[in-house]
Amino acid sequence: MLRYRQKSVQEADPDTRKPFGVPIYELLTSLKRKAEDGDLPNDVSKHSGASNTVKSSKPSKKRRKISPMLAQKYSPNEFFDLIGNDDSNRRILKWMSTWERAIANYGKKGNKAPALEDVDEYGRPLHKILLISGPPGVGKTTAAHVIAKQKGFVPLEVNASDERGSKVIREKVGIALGSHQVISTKPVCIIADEVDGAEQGFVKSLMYLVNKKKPKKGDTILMRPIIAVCNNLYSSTLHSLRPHCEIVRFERHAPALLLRRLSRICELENISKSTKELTELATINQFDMRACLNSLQFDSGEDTGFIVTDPVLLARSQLNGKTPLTFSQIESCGDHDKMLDTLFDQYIYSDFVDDRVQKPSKISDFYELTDSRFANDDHKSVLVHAFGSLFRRPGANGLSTSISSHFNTTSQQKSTKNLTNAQRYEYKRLSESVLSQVLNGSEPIIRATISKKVALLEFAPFLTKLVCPLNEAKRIESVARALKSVGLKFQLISEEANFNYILNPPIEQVVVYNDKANVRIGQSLTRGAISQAMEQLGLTNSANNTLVKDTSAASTDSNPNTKQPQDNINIPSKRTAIPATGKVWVQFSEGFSNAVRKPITWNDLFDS
Amino acid sequence: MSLWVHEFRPSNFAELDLNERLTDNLRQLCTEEELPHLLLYGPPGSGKQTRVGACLQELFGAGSRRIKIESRQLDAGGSKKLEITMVSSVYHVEITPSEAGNQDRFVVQELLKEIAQTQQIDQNAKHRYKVVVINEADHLTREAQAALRRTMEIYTSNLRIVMVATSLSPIMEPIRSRTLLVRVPAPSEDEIAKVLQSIAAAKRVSVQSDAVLHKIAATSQRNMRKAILMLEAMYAQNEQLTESAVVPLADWEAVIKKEAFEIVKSPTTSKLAEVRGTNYELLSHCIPPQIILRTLLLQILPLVDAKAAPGIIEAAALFDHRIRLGTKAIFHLEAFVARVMNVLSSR
Repeated sequence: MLRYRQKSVQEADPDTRKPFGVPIYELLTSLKRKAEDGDLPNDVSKHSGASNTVKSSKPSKKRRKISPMLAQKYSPNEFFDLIGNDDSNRRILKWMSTWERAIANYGKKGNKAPALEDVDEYGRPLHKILLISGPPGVGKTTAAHVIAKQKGFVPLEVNASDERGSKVIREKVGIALGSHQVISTKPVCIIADEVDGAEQGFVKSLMYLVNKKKPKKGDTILMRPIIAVCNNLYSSTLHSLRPHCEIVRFERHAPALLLRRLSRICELENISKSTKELTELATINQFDMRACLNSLQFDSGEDTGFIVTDPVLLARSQLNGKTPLTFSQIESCGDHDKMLDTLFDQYIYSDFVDDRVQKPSKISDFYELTDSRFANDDHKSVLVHAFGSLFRRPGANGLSTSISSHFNTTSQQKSTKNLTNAQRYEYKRLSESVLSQVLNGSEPIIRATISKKVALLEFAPFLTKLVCPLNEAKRIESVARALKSVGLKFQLISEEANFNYILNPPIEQVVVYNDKANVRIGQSLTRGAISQAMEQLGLTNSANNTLVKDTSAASTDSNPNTKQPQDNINIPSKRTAIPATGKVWVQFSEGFSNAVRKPITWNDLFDS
Repeated sequence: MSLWVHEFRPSNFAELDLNERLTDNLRQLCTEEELPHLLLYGPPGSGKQTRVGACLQELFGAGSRRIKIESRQLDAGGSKKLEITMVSSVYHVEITPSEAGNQDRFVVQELLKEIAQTQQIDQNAKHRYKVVVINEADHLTREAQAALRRTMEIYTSNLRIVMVATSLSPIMEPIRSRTLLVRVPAPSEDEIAKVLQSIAAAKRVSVQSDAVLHKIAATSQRNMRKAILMLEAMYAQNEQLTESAVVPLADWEAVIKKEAFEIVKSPTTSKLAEVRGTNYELLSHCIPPQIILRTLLLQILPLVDAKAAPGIIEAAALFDHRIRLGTKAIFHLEAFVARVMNVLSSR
């Protein structure tokens, strides 16, 4: 299907093409055509399959014959193939569109860039770099490539394997950014992968490219988009880069979405896996698409932590003829830390008889051996054995069942109690940065007397208790003054037709433990009053209290799952009405909960 | 006008009314020509920093209150950089090296030396030296303290160091011997209640009975800062402060209190699994593991039999030590809970 489509694009008269990219209309018509052939356009999973079914139509004798890596074979090739993170994908698309327009108009005299609020004098987006962050395996790099291609750019990837000294970059990237490629007439788009691991010099040279303002004679300004991809947004190398970036977060895929795609791939590849097996596979790999496909390919299905630890905790009788692990096997595994983490995660859910909590209490002494700066791998393998001897018991229930049940509950609940380690780490980093934001935003005289620790343990908890006072002018004014002195503001955000006042920086997220969303709605009245009081005092500048509101009823942006409310961006209201050539209904799946409530045209989104 | 804690904070010696003798001694010290290095220690919310502020006011006058915040980048060995926020006036600099974690050594070495090697710019300044206030001195690593001890001696002509700490024991002997130790005791509950009363009067808060003020004082664990914050929160939420009014607890404390109650109520393995979730939650909200352990211990103790207490306290000491040595706090927190459950169910 994909190839077919690209062909149709090539056949089209080049003059009718929009500046560079594949016009959305053509995509739509081809989709429509395909839809008439019986292929539903909105069932994304079928697309990736379509071309492959043709290819694998030769009946293969072997049950599974997998030549290329699955992760590469099924990596999405175009926008409609992308799954999950719909809003992020669209933000990238929108950003790229702005660039496309800017590049098309650049140099043409009299053809001034439309005066939109989010572009600069050359029609470029205000943030010249797009920074995509998220956990590994959710498709950050893929999305960047796909969307770049979609918009008619030639992606030029600069990753950790290349030398990234500042000089090299300035030459290589600098030249590439100014020019079209020789072979094709398409402009280049830089995709800088793994920037959080890059040297400072690389980041500096990126900044240099971005900050070039007035061109001297012969010098060019940056007229090509740069997309940077990272795992850790809060990495110290990115500190200086962040303010110049439009930041897009990628979250882990919703289980259902991922499973659907996985089972589709299994179907195409003739791999027989039950849904339950796939679920387990997905949870073990922490919903990392790439890792899932890799495990699928090599039929491992279990990562090292589980291969080793499962038998350790499992009773001999349950091993189905497998012998329990010997010392040397544990030694040869190598990844001791991972094994330990898995054991620690799981032992408590395994079934052992102990009514006096003796075993967990005993195992703690072994932890001391492993978790100290003198620990080496020998100690760690000893601990694995200790686990085995303490918790193994004939006739115990299989651990796997308890694992899957444990994980199943994990993925459903949203509280911070049941996060994966990585998520917990991320949450902590976020909380820390919010806290220092609050500290640095408060008046110097206050900052001088609060240390970070005191702020966290004493100030912040009571500050959040202050903000729900009785509705009485005197009290509200006093609270308003207090909030002002520590630099907190209320931000009005719209969440599914409800308007909520949320403190900004989002200190509540750091301090409040159980989700009190309902309470918050009840309080929004007084909060509004406080906010007004702050304005009346002339203490806040009104710009910071702007209504961040989605104009499209589809509320394409306010994903309630995003942790930072201020991340919501403003979609400009409908542009000059281009007569819609066709209306498309988009069906949203999990991972993007704001369902579509009215028909929107792609023009709203693509703005082409 | 801001938070009450700041509004009613004494800014000079005349306004300080608790610990009169200590205040007098400090004032005496500040009027003399030479000031020794100081180390103020005492529980949180006892007025250490307030006294440092008063000292600075006495030494340099109002100029010490014209402060600004700046953040500095320091070289931390090789290509690493670390950023530290410092509060400074013309006469003094306030730093919290422990914010740099394990790399506080570089703060002491680089920043302090730099300050020490430059002289007072202001010719009209009352004193030739500058004052460096080191907050959370008890969190300084050993290396940092070692780096500090020589600096303290060499640059005495340009520099006086005032350290603020909660506990004296993590500070090594050579440093203690180079400083004048000043203990700032926590105010008594009566004293806190009195202060609260004066604030309530100034703010025209209707307090029905003084009992509620005493209750706040008790809940705050004799922490003045916390007590005033509590009062303000209560004022915002209640029409009147009656005797039955609920004193709000910080969320994290409430969570730990509940956790302690659950542990004592049913010391079983399944409960251990639940408690793990709570511990993870606390840790991801940035609560330091030592604080979790300490609070948990203090909450558990009143709930258990006196005979079980020694075992529990011993366990707490053991695991506190291990948390300090290790990196995975969750292991040791859970181990502590398991040990407590074991002790409770073994009898």
